[in-house]
Parts: sequence; C-alpha cells; structure tokens
Amino acid sequence: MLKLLKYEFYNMFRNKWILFYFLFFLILTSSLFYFTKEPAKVVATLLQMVILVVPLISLILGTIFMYDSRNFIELLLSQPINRKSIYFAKYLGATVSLSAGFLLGVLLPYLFFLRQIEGSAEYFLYASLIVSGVFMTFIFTAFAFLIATFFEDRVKGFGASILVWLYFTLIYDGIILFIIIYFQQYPLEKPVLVLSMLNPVDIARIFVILQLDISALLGYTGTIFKKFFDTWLGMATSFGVMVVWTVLPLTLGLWKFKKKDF
Amino acid sequence: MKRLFLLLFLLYTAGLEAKTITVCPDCPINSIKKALEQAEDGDTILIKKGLYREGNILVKKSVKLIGEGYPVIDGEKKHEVITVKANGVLVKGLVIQNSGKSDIEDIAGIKFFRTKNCRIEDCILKNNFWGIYFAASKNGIIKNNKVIGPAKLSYLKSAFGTQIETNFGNGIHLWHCKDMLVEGNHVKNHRDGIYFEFVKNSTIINNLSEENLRYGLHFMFSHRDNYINNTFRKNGAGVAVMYTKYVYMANNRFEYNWGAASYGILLKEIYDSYMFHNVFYKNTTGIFADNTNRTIIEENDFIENGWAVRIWANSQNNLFKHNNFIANTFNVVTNSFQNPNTYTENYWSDYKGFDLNRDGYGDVPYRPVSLFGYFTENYPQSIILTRSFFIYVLDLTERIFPMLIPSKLVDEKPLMRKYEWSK
Repeated sequence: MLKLLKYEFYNMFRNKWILFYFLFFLILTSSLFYFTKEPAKVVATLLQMVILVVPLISLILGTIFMYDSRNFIELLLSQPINRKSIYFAKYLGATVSLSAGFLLGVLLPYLFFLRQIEGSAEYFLYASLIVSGVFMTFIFTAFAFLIATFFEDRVKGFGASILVWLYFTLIYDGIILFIIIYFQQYPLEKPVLVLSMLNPVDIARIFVILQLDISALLGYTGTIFKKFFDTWLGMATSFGVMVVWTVLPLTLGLWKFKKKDF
Repeated sequence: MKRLFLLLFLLYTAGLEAKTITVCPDCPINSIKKALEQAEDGDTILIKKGLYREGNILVKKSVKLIGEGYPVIDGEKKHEVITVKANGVLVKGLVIQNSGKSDIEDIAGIKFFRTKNCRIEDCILKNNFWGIYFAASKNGIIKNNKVIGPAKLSYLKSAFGTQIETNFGNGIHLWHCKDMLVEGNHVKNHRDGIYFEFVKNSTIINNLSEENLRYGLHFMFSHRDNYINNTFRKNGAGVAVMYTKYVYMANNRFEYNWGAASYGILLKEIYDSYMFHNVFYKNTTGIFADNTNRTIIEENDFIENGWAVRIWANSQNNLFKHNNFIANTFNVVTNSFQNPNTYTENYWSDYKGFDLNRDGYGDVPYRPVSLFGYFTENYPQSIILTRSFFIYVLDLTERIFPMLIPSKLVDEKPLMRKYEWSK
C-alpha cells in the first residue's frame, strides 16, 4: 500500500492540473492580500472559492484521475494486491495532493503578508477556512471516485459529477429557501439549523460567515446558529457531519470497487 | 448729565459684580458651601485647585462657579454633586465626579432644575450616574464638556449579570426644556450619550458621542430641533430619533454602530424632517425607518453598511435624492410590494447600466431592492443563506427579469458617478 501511495504521489506531482490548482490559489490569495491587507476581507472572498471552486475542481479532477488510470488499475488488479489498498492509495494520492495544492496556495501568501497585516491576524478564522477547504476536497473527491466507479461511460460520469456539485451548492439551498417560505408560520430556526447541518457546503459557509463581521446581519437566526456553533457540541457535530460525508461516499465507492467486474 | 448718571450707574453695578469669593483648601473660605452662603446674586466664586468633598452642593443664587486648574468636586458615590435651582448660573472649569446612584431618583453629576439662562462650560464629568441633567429649563447652554461615564460596552455582553443597562444613566440628559444649545461635548460610556425628551427649538452641534451602552443620541417628542456636525460612533444601538416633527439633521457621522441590534439611525414616527449631508459608515443598518413620513433624505453617503436603508411599509412620501450608496450588503430593503416613497438621482455603486446620451444618468432604471433583501425582510430565517451561490443566481435572474420585488421601487434616473457634495 505504501509503495502504491508513493507511486500515486509521484504521479500526481507530475500532473500539471495540481500545479495549476496550486498556482490559482497562490495568485488569487496573494493579490487579495496585496489589495486589502485585512485577513477578514480576504477570507470573505476565499470563502466563495472554498464553497464553489474547491468542490467543483475536486469532483472534476477526481473523475479525470479515476478514468485516466483505468488501464493502470486493471494492471494492478492482475497482481496479488487487495482492492482496498488500491482504492485507498488512489484516494489518498488524489486528496492529499489536491489539499496540499489548496493549503499551500492559501497559506503561503498569508504567512508572507502576516507582517504587514492591518488589524487582527484572525488565526482561528483562517484556520477554519483552511479546514473547511480540506474537508471539501476530501468529501468531493470521494464523490468523484464513487461516480467514476459506478459509471463506465465518461460522459455519464462527468454529468453525474456536475449534478452532485449543483445539488450541494445550488439545489439544496433552494430547497431550504422553499421550506422557509412554505412553512413561514412555524418557528423554523431549529429545523433550518438541522437542514443546513446535513449539507457540508452549508456547514462550511455558515461556520466561516459566523466568524466574519457580517454575522451581525444575521439577526435572531444568526444568534441561534452562533450559539450552537460556539459550543463544543456544535463544533463536534459539524466536524462529525463532515467526517460522515467523507466516509459515506468513500465506503460506498469502495464497496462498488470491490465488487466491480473490470 | 444723563451720560454721567449712566456712567455712575454702570460703575455702581460693575462694583457689585466685581465681588469675587475665592475658595481653596487652605483659604479662610475652604468650602464651596461657605462661599455660597456669603455670595450674593451676580457674584463670582473662584474655586482653586484641590479636592472638595462637600456632599450635595445646592446653588440657589445666580452665581458664577469658576474653577481654576480644574478643582475636583467629589460626590463620594453618595450624593448628587451639584444641584442648581437658580437662573443665570455659570459653571466652568470644574471636575465633577463620583455621584451617587439610585434606582428611584435620577442622581446626576450636575443637575439644573427649573432654570433659565444657565451655562455649563469646559467641565469634566467622570464616573457619574447621570452626567449633566437639565430639567424644565430654558435657554441653557452646555458647551465643551467632557462626560465620561462608568459604563463600558463590554458590559452589554454580560447583559444578565450585574452590569445591566438600567444600572447606568445618561451622559447629557435634557427633559422638558426649550431653546437649549448642546455644543462641542464629548460623551462616552453612559447609557444614552445625549438624551432629549420634550425639548423644543434646540440645537445639538459639534458633539462626539461614542461607546455608549444604548443610544448615542436618544431623541423623543422634541420638535423643531437641529442636530448638526455630530459624530455618533460605536454605540450599542446607534441613534434613535422618535415621535418628532420638523427635525433638521445635517453633517452628522454615524459610524461603526455594528451589532445584531444596532442602527446608524432609527427613525420612528418622524414627520416633515430633513436629512442632509450625513455620512453612514459601517453600520449594521444605516437608516431604519418605521412610520417616517414626508421626510427628505438628500445628499447623504451610505458606505459599507449591512443594510443602507430599511424602510417599512408604513413610511410614506419620503424622498431619497442625490444620495451615494456605496458597497452596502443591501441597499434598500422593505417589507412591502408597494412603494409609497420616491427614489431619484441617487448613485448606486452596484448599478450596472450604461449612459448612451451622456447626460450623467443611467439609461436603465435601477432597482435598489434585491430579491434576497426582500426575502430576508419577510422570512427572517432565510438570512442564513447569505453568500450562498443559490442566492447569487436568484438575485441575478431577478435583476434581469424582475418578477417578485416591488416593481415600483425603482430609481428611474440613477447617477453614473458619485454625487459630490463633500467639497
């Protein structure tokens, strides 16, 4: 398994996509810091990247990696290696290098500009942004692998990836808004809280927004959310939900991968 | 001959006024109370530097109390420090501190009760329950004082602990007064910075009111007043102007009133008023208008607020003209499908239209209410979708094909460039 993982890393770092991904975040974050010098404002912009671009890229690149290494997987399967280690090696290879690209791209400019920062350095805020981004990578790469093992057809696979992305970033929030409007006579703070806890993208978004100063706009609803997220229970729950969202597609994909007839 | 008489008369009166009683800790007259006993109307009591602990000092004669080198008059946290119940009293250059505290009475650093023509100037008030208190007075002047109270904003966070709002009084408190002038004061850390109730024909000018627990300026039933050139900064709930007609508000800065229950200015039941050249910077809500009618809001700047204007359906016939709306999260929010107000010739920084005939006005009308803004006002829980991609898409489609937002709430002539009034 370690040998496989080593090979995967070697393969990934030759991959130009990862380099572009890293450069994208590096240039974006540095230019943001160059213009504002306020970490809170930079995080506000990067948040959009974390909840939109990171899931999308993880899904697309994840499916590409899986489809591209089809021949190599078949070769490996003819060797006496169990399928679990192949799948995990591929998954870790992809997620670790994607997260590294994101992490370094976002972190290096921050460390570089840390001396010139105006206002507070916002360590916790920045850390939560990075953790959210890494989780997004892990979750959506797991989805990508699940999709790529399920669909033989590449076009279908990409279609499904886009659909998953649309569901988590767009359709789910639409459903929440619909529920809020449809059940407006009821006290909805807690149901809405539960609903948004079920979507990893919403957790990441709300968790970061509650620490930004726009949280003052959120009023009564925001206060309830903040009260929940400020407790250890809230922190642990959101962390747990993120982990569940990673493990669920991963095990499902592994199960399919084990049974799949290549 | 007449002139000679006049001269003699003037000399005589001047001779009367010239009587000055000096008070200092080592003088024959070592207390202000003694000096007041000896004084006649029109005398000056000169208080030298030192610490005076005399309980409650009651002024019932028209004297001038003038401090030299800022003498400290201490209420030992038990008494109202100075109470004035005479006309034409001048209080100048004193440090008044540590008044008592009560749940029943409004104990102040200095209280003027039923007075005319009184002045308080260049005084420093520290740690008093109420600061400067005028009740049922006329023609008073409050000028260049520094009023610093014991209430820190951080106490608000422990709202259910011992340090609650009602444990603190107001900085400058005017009740049932007429023709007053409040000028150049600095008020900090009280419950309300400046408090006006039933105060008519008065002016509040050049004051700084900051970090008060509740309102920077609290203003009720006070018709025909002006407040000009004031700065209200970091107050717990901003500024509230309520139940008043004919207020003139100009050149004020409302800034950093940031919090879940904070406004730049709350206008409640305001009629026929005028807002001109004010700057709203970084407030949760710039203007919150509840039942505000026939008010003109002209040439103001709204910069980086959460909501620039929240205007409820019960506010009618107001005019918004030549205002600059720059980088606010929501420009205008309302809970109504109708639009009983007029918005014209404003500058909106997120206006995306064009100006083909180059007359300075955009050719496409601007709709200041976003769909999400409308949702948040009517379904408060939906605010949790802030910054969601879904909301962005929704707002974009609504901008292109307006269906849901109040279709009449529109600026037909949005400015292409910022309206320059500041020069």
